[in-house]
Amino acid sequence: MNKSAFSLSAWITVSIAYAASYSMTNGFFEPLQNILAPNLPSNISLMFIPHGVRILTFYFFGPLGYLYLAPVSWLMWALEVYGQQHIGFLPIGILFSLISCHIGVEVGRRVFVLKNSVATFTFNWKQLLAAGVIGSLLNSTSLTLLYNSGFDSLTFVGYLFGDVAGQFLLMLSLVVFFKLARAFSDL
Amino acid sequence: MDNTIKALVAMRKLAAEMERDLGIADLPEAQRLSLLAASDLRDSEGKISSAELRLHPLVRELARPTFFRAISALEEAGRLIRPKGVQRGSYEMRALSADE
Repeated sequence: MNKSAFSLSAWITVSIAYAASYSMTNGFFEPLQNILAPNLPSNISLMFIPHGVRILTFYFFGPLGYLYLAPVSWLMWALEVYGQQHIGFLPIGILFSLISCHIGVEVGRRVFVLKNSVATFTFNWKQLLAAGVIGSLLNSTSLTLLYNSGFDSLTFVGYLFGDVAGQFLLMLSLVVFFKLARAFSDL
Repeated sequence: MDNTIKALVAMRKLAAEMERDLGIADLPEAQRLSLLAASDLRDSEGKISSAELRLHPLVRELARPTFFRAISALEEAGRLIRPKGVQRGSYEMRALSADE
């Protein structure tokens, strides 16, 4: 896949996907979590779908993913901090998350490559999920250290679970989306 | 090809693999029609006559090889079962669930 050329349509698609997944997380899953697990810290989401968007973006577009993801990530951060008064989120956290996801995809690419060259390697869905786990391990570690005075295992596990569950849900949503698209095209 | 299209194709491929691995993939058309026809013909004990099945309106337009390939595939997948001790002539099937 040629990852070198900037594409306006890709940028718009990624931005919409990220904003939609973030809104879904904040508008639906977060209130649901507040009802079901009110004792969890508010900065932990147990279903963080944007992690999946980040992983897919870095998989499909490589380092260009930073360019595609950074503006919408900081926009959603600004809306959350200034619009919803969710104070305590730091803008540097977004950079940590993006770097973690990029490293996760690249490490996964090198770990899972068998017969093909790294450049032409394509993930299957389980490998992509595993790359997401690697990215999430780094992301959870960095965010746990950023938002806590020391390493807090509950926060770490919360971030890890939320990222992986969110990525799985996103991939499952893609399956449903394509199934529905097929069903409607058959009508 | 535009990168967005390539990404869409790769995403479609990922989704197809996931769909197959999770066991929620759509059946090929001939198998789907054969299964629907079998479901229509099954009696209260779940038995289906293969001669009647071949003549069912949903599958009688299928070419013979396509029909028999579909039946073999359904047998391999365990969706149609040949009753023990019976070589040919009838099948058994479980009731279809709503999502089949």
